Amino acid sequence: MLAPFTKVIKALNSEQSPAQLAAAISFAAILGLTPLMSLHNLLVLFCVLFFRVNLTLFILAWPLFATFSLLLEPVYHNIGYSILTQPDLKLAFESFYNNIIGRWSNFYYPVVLGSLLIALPVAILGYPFFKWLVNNYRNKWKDKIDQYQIIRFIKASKVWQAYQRFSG
Amino acid sequence: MKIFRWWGLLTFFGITCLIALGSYFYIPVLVKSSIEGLGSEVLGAKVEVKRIDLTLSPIGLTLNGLTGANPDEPMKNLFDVEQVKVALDFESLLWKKVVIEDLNLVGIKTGTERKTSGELEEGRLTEQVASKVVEMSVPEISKEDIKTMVENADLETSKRIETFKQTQQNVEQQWNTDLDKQSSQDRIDALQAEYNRLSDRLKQDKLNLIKDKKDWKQLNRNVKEEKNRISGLSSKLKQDKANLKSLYEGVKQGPSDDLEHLMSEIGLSNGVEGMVDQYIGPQYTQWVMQGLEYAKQFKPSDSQTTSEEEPEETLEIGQPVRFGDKHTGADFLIRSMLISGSESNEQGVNTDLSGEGFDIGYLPWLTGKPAKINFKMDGSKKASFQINSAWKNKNEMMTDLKANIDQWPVSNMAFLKSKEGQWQLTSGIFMADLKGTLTLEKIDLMADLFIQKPVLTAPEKLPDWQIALVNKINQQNQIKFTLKASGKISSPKVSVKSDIEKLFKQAIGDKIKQKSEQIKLQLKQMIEQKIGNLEQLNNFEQKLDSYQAQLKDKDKLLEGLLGKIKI
Repeated sequence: MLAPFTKVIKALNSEQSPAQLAAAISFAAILGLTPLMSLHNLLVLFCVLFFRVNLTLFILAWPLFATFSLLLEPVYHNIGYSILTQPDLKLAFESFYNNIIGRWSNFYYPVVLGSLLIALPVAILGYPFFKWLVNNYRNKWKDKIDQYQIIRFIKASKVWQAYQRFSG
Repeated sequence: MKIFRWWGLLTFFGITCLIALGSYFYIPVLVKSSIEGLGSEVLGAKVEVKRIDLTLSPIGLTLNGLTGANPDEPMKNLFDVEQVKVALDFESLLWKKVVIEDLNLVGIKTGTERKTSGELEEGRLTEQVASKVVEMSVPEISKEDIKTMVENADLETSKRIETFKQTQQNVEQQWNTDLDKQSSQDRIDALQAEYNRLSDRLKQDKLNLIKDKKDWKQLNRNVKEEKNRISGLSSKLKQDKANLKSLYEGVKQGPSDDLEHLMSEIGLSNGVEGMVDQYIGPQYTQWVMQGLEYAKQFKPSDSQTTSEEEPEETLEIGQPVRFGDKHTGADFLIRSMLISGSESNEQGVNTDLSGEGFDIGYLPWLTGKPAKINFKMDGSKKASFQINSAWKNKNEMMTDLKANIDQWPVSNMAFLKSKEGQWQLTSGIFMADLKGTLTLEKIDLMADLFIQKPVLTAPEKLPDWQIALVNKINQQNQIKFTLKASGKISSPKVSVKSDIEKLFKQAIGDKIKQKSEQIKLQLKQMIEQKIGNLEQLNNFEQKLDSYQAQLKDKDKLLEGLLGKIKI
């Protein structure tokens, strides 16, 4: 129960840059908000593993976004369908459909396109916001938050001690 | 700070390889479960595959030991295919299209024994329809039931009597008033008096004729006027008489209408003919019912287009929006299919199976060629099937069906279901000749089906007449069914005529006739008892005739008067 909290606190207090932590949340947003078995998620996975993105935060944020996406699926469908059926965009979609990447990207499924169109702004616009959050936490809120009973409780717990020892 | 995580690259490739490897092992499992699940639903009995092998070069699948249980005999297989080899076109797979270059079904056998039952525990949807059993029993009705039934019935005759009596009363009242009117008699008396006065004056002096000329003329006019009035009344009286007569005829017809209605409530409206329709109509023959249910699944092309072009909201990835595809062709296509096999019956006589199919695809209008399937059996069983289905576009389809079964020994085939249980065709030789055309809108199908030397086993504890029916069927050398289906595909007109109808009539005829007549007689008596004697209503004519006589007398009087008028 406390493990995820300790992991988040640990990540926030680590020496990793705010950009690495924010990028983790942004990539998790794309992976979580769009259908998992999509071609673009292979690219997300590649980026997360190849670039120094905080994996702990990525793994924790992904299920949160995935849960949230369940509620948004009808919205994804409506957005995706209305864009896919735009007469002006038909030619562009048709030529994309007729190449292998387009065919395997599943973009012609309204939910895939709709979810990607929501996930990308969330990830891109969210990146500076998440970075600002981490910076503010470290510079302003950390000391205050450390005084909260719950944080003291977590830090005093055996899970925290064990986690500290394990992660060195 | 280092941007790249080189071990991450290795991990990524490791994960990718794991996904590929997982797919390699998972695809056969997925195909196996799909074939077993969908096949079982279509067949109505277990479809199983022993093992599926995936080959990468050339890319394809091999299904070993594909079996489908017989829904009527779960301990036997309907088909048992040794091996199904599927060769796929790799380039089409890159475009997400499954194109089967060659499909070979080798070693097909039918009727092989199973070790476990092939029955589906929960059944399938279509079976629920077929399980609607026919209640084959002659109604048992006691005299008391008939009495209560008639007492509680809202008899049409009673209503008609009420209407008749009401009308008769109104008519009589009206005529009594009309004919008893003093004014009418007064007018006639006045005319008579005037005539007497003028006649007396004429007797006194002939010249009075000239003097009274005006009065004589006036009298003439008045008499004619009165005569016309009486003539009008006479016509009205005739009309009233005709109306009452028609109502009376309705009343007389009432008991037989009521009798027919009550007989139909019992289920004996048309006697034996009705019983034939009720029990051997297409609605109670299982395979016709199943055929009808399948036919109802077809929808006119309009609704198909709508469902495809306007995808419903879905919580998965949804219906795809289709774009112009340069890599034309169906999403699923079998370019060539070969079927071969043989089976031997208990006497050791072989039947060779062979078949071929071309351009069988989904969506069919994208294949560009008509789909063809030819299938032949030769040996102890002789049969051939031909299907040719051409799709010009998604709204235009024309399918020709031809099937010919020369000789097909059948055993333990489900024949009919009654509340006592299954009527089983223990043995017989089935023959059929079927021809038909099918479009998305219309069906035109004609089939002659024969069962030679039928041996029928019926459930125990059948009523006498049903046992007689079974015996009569078993005595026949051949039973013929003629099936016709035509009209709209969504609501086709289906008719089934068979020799069984005649046998049915023979089997139940005497018993039903006797019973039906007995019930009819009892009902008739009860109805007559309830409505009473109708003959007493017939006196309306006498009264109306007396009115007619009164009018006639007056008319005669006026006629006489008119003859005597001098001017």
